[in-house]
Amino acid sequence: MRLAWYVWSSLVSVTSILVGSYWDISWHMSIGRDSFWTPAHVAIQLGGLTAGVTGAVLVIATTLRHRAPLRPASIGVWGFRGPFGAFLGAWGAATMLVSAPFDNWWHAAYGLDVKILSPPHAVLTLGVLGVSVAGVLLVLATMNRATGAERTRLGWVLLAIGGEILVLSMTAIIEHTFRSNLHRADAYRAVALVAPLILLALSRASAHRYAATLLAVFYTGFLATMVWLFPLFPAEPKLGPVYQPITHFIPLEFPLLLVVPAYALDLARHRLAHWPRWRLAPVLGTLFLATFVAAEWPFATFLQSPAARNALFGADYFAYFIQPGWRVARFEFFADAHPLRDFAEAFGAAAITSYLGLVLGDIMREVRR
Amino acid sequence: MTRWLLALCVLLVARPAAAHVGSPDVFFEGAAGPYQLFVTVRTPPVIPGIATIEIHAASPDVRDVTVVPMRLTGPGSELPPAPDRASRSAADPRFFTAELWLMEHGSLQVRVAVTGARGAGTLSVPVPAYARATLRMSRSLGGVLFALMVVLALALVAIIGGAVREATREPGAPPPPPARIAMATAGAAVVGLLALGNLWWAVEADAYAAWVQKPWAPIVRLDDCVLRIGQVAEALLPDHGHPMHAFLVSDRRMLHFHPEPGADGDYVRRLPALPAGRYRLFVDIVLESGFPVTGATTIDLPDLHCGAITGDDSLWSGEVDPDITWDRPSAIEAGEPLRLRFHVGGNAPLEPYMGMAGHAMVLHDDGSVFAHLHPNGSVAMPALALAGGKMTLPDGSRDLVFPYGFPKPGSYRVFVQLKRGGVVATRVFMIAVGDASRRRRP
Repeated sequence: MRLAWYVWSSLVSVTSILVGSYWDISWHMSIGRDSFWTPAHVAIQLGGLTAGVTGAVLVIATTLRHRAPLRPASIGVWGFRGPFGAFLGAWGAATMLVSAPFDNWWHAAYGLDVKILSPPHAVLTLGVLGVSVAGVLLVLATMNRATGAERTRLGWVLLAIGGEILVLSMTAIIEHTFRSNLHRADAYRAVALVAPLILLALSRASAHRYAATLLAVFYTGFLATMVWLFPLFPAEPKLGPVYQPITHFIPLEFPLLLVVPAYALDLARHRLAHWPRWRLAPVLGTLFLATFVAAEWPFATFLQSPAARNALFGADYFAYFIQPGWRVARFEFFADAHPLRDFAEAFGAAAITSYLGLVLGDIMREVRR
Repeated sequence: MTRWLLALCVLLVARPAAAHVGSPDVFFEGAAGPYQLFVTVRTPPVIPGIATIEIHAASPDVRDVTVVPMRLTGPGSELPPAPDRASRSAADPRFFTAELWLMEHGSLQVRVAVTGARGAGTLSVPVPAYARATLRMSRSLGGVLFALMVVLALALVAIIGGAVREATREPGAPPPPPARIAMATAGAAVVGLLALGNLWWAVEADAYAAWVQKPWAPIVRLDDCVLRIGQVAEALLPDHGHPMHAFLVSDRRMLHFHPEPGADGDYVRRLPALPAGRYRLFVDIVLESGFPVTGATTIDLPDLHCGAITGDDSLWSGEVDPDITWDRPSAIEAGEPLRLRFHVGGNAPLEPYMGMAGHAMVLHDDGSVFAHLHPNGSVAMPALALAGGKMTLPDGSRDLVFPYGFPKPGSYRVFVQLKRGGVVATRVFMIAVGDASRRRRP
């Protein structure tokens, strides 16, 4: 059976935003100067546009046509009717649009921000989040109403969009998870705030036994492929001062070893499936963070070593603005001023986001519209 | 180290004050190989921001001009980014303009590369990059964005309300009553999110404000005839022979003097005899990075019954030297790049004054603008040396030319100083600068 057009357009939308976002960050690391019409920006805008048009078409068609196929599976908002995901997609696209003039003003007021997390970028991220969750909801509601082969195929689409959301979310926190920060609790606290929520919500909503592992494999595969692919394309800085010789696109750093805690989560949630959420969440949160630290900490040591300075791990790729004296360029770790306090916060955060993930996953299993 | 000293050091090292006072643009004249260029760098009010580069070639045989931004010295001064090509004016083929991103605070250079009929050449222009302001949001844009924010917030609450009410119901099931509690909760969450965003914005704005130029008011003390200026930084570059150039200015006096480091860390100098009164004090220093800093304050002096001028110091006491004349344009407008040309009459040959062919100090009547110029323009000489540039020395000509643009309208005094026959001569000129409706080239 063919899947509905809006399932594919949701996948296209989130994929376009993901590729555009990655490309944009790499562009800022390699070339620096951009415009509204760089290919990366166009990809992000096309992703938002696709989500917005998908949402608008679904809402208008469902509202105006009483016999529209999605009419029985719609919700009402301000007199309009349409699937939950359609409303959220249109809202996300509108929010992305609004972030543009805010971002422009921000640049004029405070200078061009060369960081990912700023208030106007947060508005854009909120819009991207809306679009991405909308894609999940459209697929999820259809999947929850489907049976047999269609349900299985939709399950794979759900995992694909979910994997993309995981990549986008982890990309949003790279200012905390860069290599030289991986021997500080700050990096693990940032991951604990994001990853358990997404992994558990989506794996709880998915029927697949190893959903969390598959999401992490997607994350690893995407980012590792980019590490191998992007340096094949030439680039040179168009902003200065330039501190690193750049001849090709600079990729983001090698992916975190999320696949280890994700696999641990899959094993544990299968074995402890009968536990109530309040009891399960702290166990899963602790398990996630403990296995992640156990895997990532020594792996980070390896990434700082000469053995990782090659095309496979890409540890010697630096953005043009990385100064030779900076720790990251010297392959050194930042010291941790408050490791006990920060790790305690990280474990607390992991427990809370695990609980939220479980709650969200249970709600997502019930979404029909 | 006392608290004020620490604060001052932080001010100078981490939050650079301005080069000159109220005169942020850079005016520079020099040679790029065989081509003589007048370069104006219109610095942006925010960093990172876009500077406008104006290049006027003295000869018509320049074909192509490119510009790149680099650090003045150290890392970042050796790897140029892809150059920006300046566009040639249709009205004047010797005039080129380019826009250039200045991405970092501190001591930068704009490297100008020229090709033409006589080959190629480059010229490095030191540019101190610093943020001067934060733009306030216009009422109209603020109103539009606020309205959109309200609409998006209400829409999100409505969507969540609709979803809680119906999203988990089986298709075709009749709708339940509105989910008022869920909507109220969602509304509170959205308001909380917006409040957090507002708080974040305030934190980011404060962090940026820390980089915005702060005026440096030097702490000064008078001990008998000795003026003491609190230590300003660990290491300063000598600026044509002196680590500090200071200027005491009143209506009828202008003392150009050079405090030296004292035993207690202050910069000290014995003042000459001066009448009592209120003086403006301007202090020029250049940090080790080549970043120039000018401090400004006022000081009330009693009658000073002190000695005579010594060393390189000079004092103007209201006299008019008829040998120094200004070939001034009929009208001067603010922002206009000018070559301020002065002619020196008489027969005595011009000598270097502290290694320079001449000095000019520009002072707005309200004290809001002060600039110390040389025949190369408004750049600091140590920064020029770091950039590999050459200073303009006396070449037998009786003309002194200072490239500069008055930054705002108003009344100015221009103090011109030179040396001939072993004596420093000073003449002061008054000038009214008009309000430029549009910029003109030199």
